[in-house]
Amino acid sequence: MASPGGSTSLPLSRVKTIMKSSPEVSSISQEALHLTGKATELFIQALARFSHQQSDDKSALSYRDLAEVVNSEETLQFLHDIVPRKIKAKEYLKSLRDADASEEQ
Amino acid sequence: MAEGREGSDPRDPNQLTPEDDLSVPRAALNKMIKELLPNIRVANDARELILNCCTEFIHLISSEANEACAKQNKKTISPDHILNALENLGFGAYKAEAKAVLKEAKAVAAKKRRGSSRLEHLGIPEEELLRQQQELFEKARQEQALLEQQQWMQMQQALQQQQLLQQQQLQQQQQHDDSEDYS
Repeated sequence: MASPGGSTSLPLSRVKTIMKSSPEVSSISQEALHLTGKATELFIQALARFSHQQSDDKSALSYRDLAEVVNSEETLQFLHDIVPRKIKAKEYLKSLRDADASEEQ
Repeated sequence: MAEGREGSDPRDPNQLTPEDDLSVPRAALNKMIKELLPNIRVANDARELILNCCTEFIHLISSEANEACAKQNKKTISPDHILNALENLGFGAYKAEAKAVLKEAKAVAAKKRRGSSRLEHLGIPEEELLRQQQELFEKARQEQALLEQQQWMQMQQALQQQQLLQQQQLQQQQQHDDSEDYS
């Protein structure tokens, strides 16, 4: 499925299956399904594009680029569980120092 | 290491929960990435991650939408539920473009319904439509006939003009009266 302005590239049947894998969801209107499909597509595009923009290496998109973005953007907090960020030792030590500092206050 | 949902690690292939099998197709994702970032190397684990983020996103939106839906005591998640969910979760920017898809969805659905129901929708029974059609044809025939008649008359007139002209020329040339020569 091509994706000119109107239609979606993601197969809606799959989107629907994913939505319904949550037991609380009973049924979705066809239009709501279309909307979700398109929004998901936009999400992928935004995530990939933004991660690439922020990256130091413009010739590639790495796991780390994505992880950085997920950890820095508030709207992406829901992804924290699936994207553990490998933090540098420096940052870890700093966070320890910050924690000590706040305890002393 | 952070725990995934329900204590399982989604990246461990040995732990398969029903949710893990489910993601958007890899091929669809690869195509999107290629169109978005052509000539950019995208590592496999990065693709895998995007796939999982995708699934999470869908869950996020559907939960939020479902909650709103349930609050209204409705059974079916509507487009508005989705749009509001997007707004509430910080993805309001997607609303405009997402709505554009709705128009197409409606057009597709309408095409499917078209067929005999369209006549009923207009409120005009088929016999009446047939009658109107006959009327139109008759009218068209008459107009055509009139047109042809006019054209014929115009042509006649043009011919007569031409002949008149020729006569005058002949008269000038001949000294005798040749008025009977016209055909």
